[in-house]
Amino acid sequence: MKAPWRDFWRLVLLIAAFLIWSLAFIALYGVHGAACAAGWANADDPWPLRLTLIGVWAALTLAAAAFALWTWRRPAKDGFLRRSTMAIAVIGALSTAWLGAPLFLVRVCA
Amino acid sequence: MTDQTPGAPAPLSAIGRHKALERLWGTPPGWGALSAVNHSTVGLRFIITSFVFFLIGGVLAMLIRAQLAGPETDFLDAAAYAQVFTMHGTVMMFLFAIPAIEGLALYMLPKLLGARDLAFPRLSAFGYWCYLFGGSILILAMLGGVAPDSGWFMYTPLSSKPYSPGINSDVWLIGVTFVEVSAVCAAVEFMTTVLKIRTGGMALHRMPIMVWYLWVTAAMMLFGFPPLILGSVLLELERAFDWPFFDPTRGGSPLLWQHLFWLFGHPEVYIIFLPGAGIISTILPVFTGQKLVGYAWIIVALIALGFISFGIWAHHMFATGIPHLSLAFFSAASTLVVIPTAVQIFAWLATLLSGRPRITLSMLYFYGFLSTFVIGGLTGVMVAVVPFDWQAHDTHFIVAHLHYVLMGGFVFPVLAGIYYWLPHFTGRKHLEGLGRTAFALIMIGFNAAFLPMHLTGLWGMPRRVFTYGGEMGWDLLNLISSVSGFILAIGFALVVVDVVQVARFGRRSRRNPWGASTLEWGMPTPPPAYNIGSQPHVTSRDPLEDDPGLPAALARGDGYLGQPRNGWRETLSVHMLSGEPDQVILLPGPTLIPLWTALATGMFFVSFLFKLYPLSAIAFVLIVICGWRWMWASGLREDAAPVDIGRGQTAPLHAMTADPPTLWGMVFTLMANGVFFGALIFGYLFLWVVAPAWPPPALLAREPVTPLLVLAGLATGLAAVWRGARANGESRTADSQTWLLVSAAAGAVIAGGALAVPIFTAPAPNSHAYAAAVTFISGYLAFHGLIAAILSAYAWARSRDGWISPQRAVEFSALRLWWLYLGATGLISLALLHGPAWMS
Repeated sequence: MKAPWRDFWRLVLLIAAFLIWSLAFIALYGVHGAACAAGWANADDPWPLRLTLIGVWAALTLAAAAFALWTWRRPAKDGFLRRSTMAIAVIGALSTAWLGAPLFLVRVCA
Repeated sequence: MTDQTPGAPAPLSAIGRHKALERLWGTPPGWGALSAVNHSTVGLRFIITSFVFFLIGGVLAMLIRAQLAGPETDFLDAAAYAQVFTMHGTVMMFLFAIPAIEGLALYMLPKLLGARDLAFPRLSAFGYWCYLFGGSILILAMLGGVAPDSGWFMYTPLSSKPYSPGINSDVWLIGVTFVEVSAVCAAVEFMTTVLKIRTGGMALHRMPIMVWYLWVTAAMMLFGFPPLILGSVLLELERAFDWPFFDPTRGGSPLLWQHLFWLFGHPEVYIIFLPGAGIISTILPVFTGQKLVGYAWIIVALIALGFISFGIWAHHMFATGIPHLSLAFFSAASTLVVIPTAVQIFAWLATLLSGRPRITLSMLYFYGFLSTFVIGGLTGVMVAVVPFDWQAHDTHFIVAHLHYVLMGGFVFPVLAGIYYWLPHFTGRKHLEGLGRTAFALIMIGFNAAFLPMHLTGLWGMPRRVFTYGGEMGWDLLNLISSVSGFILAIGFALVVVDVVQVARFGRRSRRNPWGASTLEWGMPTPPPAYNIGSQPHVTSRDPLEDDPGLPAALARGDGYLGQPRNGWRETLSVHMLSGEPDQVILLPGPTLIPLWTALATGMFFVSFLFKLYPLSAIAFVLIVICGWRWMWASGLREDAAPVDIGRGQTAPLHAMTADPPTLWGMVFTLMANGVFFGALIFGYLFLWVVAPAWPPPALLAREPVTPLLVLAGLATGLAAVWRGARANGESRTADSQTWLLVSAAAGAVIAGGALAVPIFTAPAPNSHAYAAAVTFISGYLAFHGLIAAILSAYAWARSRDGWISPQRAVEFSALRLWWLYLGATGLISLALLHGPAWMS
């Protein structure tokens, strides 16, 4: 990869954790909306959909956590950028985890 | 652009340098002022125009308050009231708030970055004309009695043809879209400028905090505006041609409009708030004598805020019947957004507490901001909780909440900024007496007008009603709000008087009267057209504190690019992370091409408004011609050696590098385009999954010809552009030109193949939302194929004329990006268009 693009991708890494957060948000909202509209979940047996959503959420939260871990273990290059990337990665992972809280509290397709 | 070989210029005195640079960077007088591209001139035009619109919006607010002052008032009838409140919201949001930010950023960004101008000065000028013309369409319509009247968020079905048969809604859709073009141009401009156009040594961590705020804001504009542009285009197509995107009887959904609108609308709140917060973060250290606490944490919070604010759009739709769990996702995000906001507030408080605050007018507005915005934020948390929102939805509680947020989060910081930078804008000293009176009137008037509205709303008074009965018990609170509203208006009028009298009659101010440490104060005030005699090398965020003699040294030409040469408008470009100089940007001078392009764009929009479609087609051709001429004027016709940039260093001219600003401009343009396309996919899938009357009665005819034609065009075009670039790199110019012609032909084939779908195989677009969506997606693909053909033909013509060489190849870099984008969106479009037919 040529130098300008390599630098640009380092900037993308700065926001990568929140790109995962965005993906989690879109996936949860999208899967839930589509499944409810399709009548996939019903009051008698809401668990297949709930478990699917929990699976989506858990996978993306783990991805965000793994990314945060990776940023902590990465060899240092640029102090400011590295520290900011690490901080945003941790906050992004926590934010992704927070998104899933309603999955355990609210009825699925009411 | 001049292509002389750079020579060794004779040293200049400070005065000589000033005169030489002023000649180079100045704007011609008289009618020549229409050709201005200088960022200070265009920025000031933006700011002044936005405040004219602010005054118009304020007069409309007074009309609203006069009507609601008492029960059963017949000052305005229902129809006139609908136009007035719609225009008040539209003017304040689209014609004041966003353009004021754009103006401030246009004016201030290069100065904060120690640069001489923005990355694309002609784009700034084009954006201004689009803004002026689009805004004028709306105001002229209002004067003609046909102003939009469906609310500033234009909800369907009220804004659809059956319920708004006049041109009122069309005026909104056309005028606002025209203004949005300006906003997207500004976003591309700011993103590229911060990435590359800084002074030497300005690494990311040395950028002033205001620059970070404006950068995040620009990114949000880049991603926030395209969904609304898409929504506006779809609604206008529905109104003009009866394509039923929002008609539930034919597979459309009014909720799709709400999603697209609020995908823009909620980030918009933060797009408005963040520059205001940036002003606060800039002035607070100056007036407390204490460095901003938590610089890095504020940047982290900003980035978090930028993302989370997009995950909140449906909290404006809690009452639309979305399933509870989905609401809970948005509610979770809505509560999350409090944290990065609070990080900033605590950082400000810590700065305040650890410093010794001076009570200036700017600081008074800071205190006003803090108290008002915190109240607005807290009521925001209340309406983020779904059960409470259901009680307060569409009542005057929401009117109070949004005004506390917008006045607190934007207007007060902007007023703080006006008084902070007034000596910079005018070069004159400000006496605070009149300003303090105005502040008192504004604070008292605002709180007495809007605090009671919380109660009026909780007592049940809905928004957008033109009158109410005396028996409702809302009359006293409304009277207080109306009287106070007029006090608020008097306060703003005094601010205008104050600013005008300072600009006209104020005593000369010394440079940097506040003792600030950022670079905008390192230049004469009011600033000359070129900003600074030479560009500094910075080693911290506080260059003027590090070296109080820096302004004089820069005026002496001791920094970068201190010697004008060859009639070039030069500014430095840097490595995006380290801030080390890596190229010299040669910027264009005054030209009428942005005005002509904006006029052609205006002709397109106005002819569409009046349904003169042949004229729209002519306007499109004119836009292409203007665009061609615009781009043609840039670049070099001969390879050039690196030039001396001062401080014993050399750097190549931008046309000789692999990543000139044009490349990044294309990257950010394609990002905005990608968001538009993503919103289109979302809309299509949303209708398919959620809207009634699906599946559609008829799908595309199943045939292989058109998809294979498009596929062949994509494969050929991509291969041709890559082969052409390689041939150019190996100095095989004739081969390279042949490949460019092949890629132009491939673009035409894609356009033809995509257009064939609605002509030959799709159901009539007015029969069902599916058919309308398929036609729109085909049109999108055809349009991008056509642009690919034009860009390839342009690169061919440039190559023939000697503008491209193995070293000067930005046309190929940009073309490859466009074709890559076309390849990706083309494949997705084919899947969306033909997938359902082949799977059925």
